[in-house]
Amino acid sequence: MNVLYLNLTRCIYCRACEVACEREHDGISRVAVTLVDPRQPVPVSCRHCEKHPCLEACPETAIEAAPGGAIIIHTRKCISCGLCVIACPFGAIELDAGGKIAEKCDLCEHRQRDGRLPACLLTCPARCIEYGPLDDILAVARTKPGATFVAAMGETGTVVTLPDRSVPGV
Amino acid sequence: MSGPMIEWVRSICPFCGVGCGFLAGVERNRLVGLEYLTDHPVCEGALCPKGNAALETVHHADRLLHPLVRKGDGFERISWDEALEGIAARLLDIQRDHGADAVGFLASAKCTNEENYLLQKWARLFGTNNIDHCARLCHASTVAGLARTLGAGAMTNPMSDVAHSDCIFVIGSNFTECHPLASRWVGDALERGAFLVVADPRVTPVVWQADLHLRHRPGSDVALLNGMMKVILQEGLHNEGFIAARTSGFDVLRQSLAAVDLAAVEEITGVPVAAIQEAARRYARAKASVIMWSMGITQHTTGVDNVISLANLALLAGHVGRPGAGLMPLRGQSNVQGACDMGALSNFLTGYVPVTDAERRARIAAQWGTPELPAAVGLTVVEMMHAAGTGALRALYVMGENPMITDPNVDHVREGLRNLDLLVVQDIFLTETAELADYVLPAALWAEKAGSYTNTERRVQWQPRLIPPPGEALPDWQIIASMGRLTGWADQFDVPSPEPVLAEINAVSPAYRGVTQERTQALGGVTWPCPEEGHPGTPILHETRFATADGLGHLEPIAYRPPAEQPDDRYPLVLTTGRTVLHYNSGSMTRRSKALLTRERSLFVEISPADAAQRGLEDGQQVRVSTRRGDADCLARVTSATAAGVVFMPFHFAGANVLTNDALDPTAKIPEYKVAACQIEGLPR
Amino acid sequence: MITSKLKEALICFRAGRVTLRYPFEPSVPPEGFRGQPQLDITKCLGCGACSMACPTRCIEVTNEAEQRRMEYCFDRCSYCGECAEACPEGGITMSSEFELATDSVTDLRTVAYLDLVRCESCGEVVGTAREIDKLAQELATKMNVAADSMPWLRWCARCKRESSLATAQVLQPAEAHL
Repeated sequence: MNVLYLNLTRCIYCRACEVACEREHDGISRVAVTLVDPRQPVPVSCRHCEKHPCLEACPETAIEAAPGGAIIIHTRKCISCGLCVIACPFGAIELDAGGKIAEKCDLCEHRQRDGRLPACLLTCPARCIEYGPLDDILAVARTKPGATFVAAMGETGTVVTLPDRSVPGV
Repeated sequence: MSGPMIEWVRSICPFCGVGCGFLAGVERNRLVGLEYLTDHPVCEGALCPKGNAALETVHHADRLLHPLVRKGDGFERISWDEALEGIAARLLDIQRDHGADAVGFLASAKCTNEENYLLQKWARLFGTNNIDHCARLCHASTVAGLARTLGAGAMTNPMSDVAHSDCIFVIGSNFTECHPLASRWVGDALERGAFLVVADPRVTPVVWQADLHLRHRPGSDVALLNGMMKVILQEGLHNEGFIAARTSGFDVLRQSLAAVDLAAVEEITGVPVAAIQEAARRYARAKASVIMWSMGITQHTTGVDNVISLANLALLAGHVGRPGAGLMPLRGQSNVQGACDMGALSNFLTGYVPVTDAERRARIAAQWGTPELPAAVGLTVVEMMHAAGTGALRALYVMGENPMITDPNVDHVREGLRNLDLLVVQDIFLTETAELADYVLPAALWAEKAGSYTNTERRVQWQPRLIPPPGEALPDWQIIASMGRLTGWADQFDVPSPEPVLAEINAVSPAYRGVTQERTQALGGVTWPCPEEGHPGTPILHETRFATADGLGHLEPIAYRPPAEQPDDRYPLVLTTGRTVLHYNSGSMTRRSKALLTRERSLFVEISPADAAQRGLEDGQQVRVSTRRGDADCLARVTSATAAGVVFMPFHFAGANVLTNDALDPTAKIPEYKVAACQIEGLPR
Repeated sequence: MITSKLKEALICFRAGRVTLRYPFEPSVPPEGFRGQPQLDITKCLGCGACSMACPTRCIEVTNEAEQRRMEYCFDRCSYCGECAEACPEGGITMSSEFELATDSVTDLRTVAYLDLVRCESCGEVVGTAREIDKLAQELATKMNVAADSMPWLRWCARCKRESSLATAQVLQPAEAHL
């Protein structure tokens, strides 16, 4: 069970992950770096939730919870109804530019198949994104400054460390 | 990753001075993929958005494919022989009629060490020191300021060393956007508990992570730094042992600081005394403190003063020459450090030999097979544009620079370039500058030629040739060598490949003596000074002595001077300029990348909510920004990231530098991009 | 010459009657015949999957101020059955109806209006009320939560991203893993 870890104290809003994701996925980025507050960017992508409303919403069998923990959209089965887009609590799924296919993070399935890690975490200049077994990730996250929680539905999924952004001074 | 035909070759990112590595996938003479190089010591595989988009410009349809000559308002395709012989003949005519000093050369911080070496050598053999490049516009003040105080105008520690610092003082650097990889090491230090002080008029993403933000007014850096030093001395936080053993000039500095009044500093900078005190205490008390700076310090008429003040601060606290303690000017271009090292500067020959130093100049002249080299300091970038306007400069040979976007006061630059008898531009695209040229020569880009690049850490890395150039384009070294041969130095420019040029650099520059091709090809290259073959390189400078003649760090009192231009009733706002994370310098590459351009489409100006409300401006509205030099239309971004009274524009798009001031620092001749008085008005929708 | 014509006539008489008396008597299509799609608009969620699937672009989905307009132009229908295949609600079935001749092409067109839900935060269209009601009920059952515990069902994707950390904290308090 491998999960993503977003150490948000480190995110610098450079959007390298978006450009990398876009390159890896035929010109469509499945991560959107979003300012959740004027000083807090978050690379928002699929949290690969343990309890996955997108999968439950899909009228076909286009969304699968893969054994490794990844939630995968089988695009050939997608009927473009958009119900998963509404069901996702995090805005991580969107229909592609033509409105045809639901697109979201697949944890770089194609890269992992030949032993390469997802592009977003390799490219992140600030080392904000990590990836590994949930327990290892939680052990690392607890050593970081800030509050740590599973930012997904259920007990497993993407882990986040959230900083305290109060800046004394002027 | 693995197609059967794809070959993965280690490459250096062509954008900023950090010098990240990646693997480029080559298939049938095309670059088809990019992969992360996780064991690269500079970046551990990471790349910023620009690096990720590096391949997008390589096979771009706009690439120049053939030499062009001006024909009326347009261009006509000609052969290489016609172009090179035509240029050579006109250069020799101008040399005969007006003297060699009527010709100027602009080198490029995007080209290899070998190419910059060849160009400056050609300029000098041609008879002029009118050779300069964009380092003049970025870190000329650092080179001058640090040379005077520490003896070497370069970053003292490797980038990754910041991770070992206990206090990081960032002033005038938005490294999260301009050198994103620096965030990696700063982040590591912060997680270890380091204290981050950021002095910046804007709230940049660096400030988001700061423990203390000093929001000083643009151009008040010297006052702020003097204030910090005053606090350090007042509270006895200076490092007496270090000052006694390794510096000179302490007493004079102490006297001058005695006159500094902290209340007056607060008045000038806008930073409360308590914050200045906190910053000074944190910086001085930490076990290892580092200062990081970029254009916010250098691009001022007081640029050299600013840098000397930073050196004073570091020497006073003894934070130099140790792991985690040093001075870190973050350099902007992939080879700006190298182009300076090679001597593509109007005042320095290869290896920072001053052109005025007769003895060392003669030594280099002998190596270049000529009895004498020009002794007078040449024209700098901005001075060349001024001289072109007055007619003192008749010809300009530009290798890969785009002054029509990057130089200050662009309208004046255009007049100057139009006034030239001969403008030659050698570039990969028909840039805004090339559009004005008499001859346009198609050049190879980074992947299409071999050569070495020196990053901001002084790390020299080799870029192999991956693919052939498109059309008839040629590598810059080949074009320059041809020009050298055609203008009379057949023996000096008999250059079959870049490798022998590096060997010549090894012989001419002591710091590069051991920087052989073999060493630069290794993963992570080699860091100069590397005085002999087999020397491990020198990641940390000034560990036991400074590079000055007496080996001491020179403290030098600096008095605050205000910026050249002050706001007034007509132009009440201060315009400051800089980079964004998604674009790079003149944008001739990044504005041709879909991934980058769709995320940042056009020129904008950041304005504070108060100033916007006063002018009735809304976010996203079209506005006109005007200064004493011209005006530019762009979109307004209303944001509290900028302080009231200050507005910010990126310079990657045409327009911003129409506005900037071409007033120069008296020593470094760097223009004051960072302060221009301006006014903003809304345009009808 | 004449004999061959006579022989031909003879063969035809011997075969008997091979055509229907259609249209004077009904024609029953064979098994599997694909005629006009039949809409059950009461089942329509307004998701537009049918529109995406339709190769002849018969089905047009447009958002108006408060409603989603679904227009079915069966005059262009090729009877391929893709829409029925795509419809997640079984709202479209393929009939064997093929007698479509009409004086007015509008007889072959159906327009339906469904209520829209706009993002509570920014006003961007989220989906139709039927989609959101259905999801609320279905997810509540399947995931064993209260139907009104999922406020994001009424937020657009962009606003969901902007509040994604807050949403996450609602779902999973920090203490759970600290």
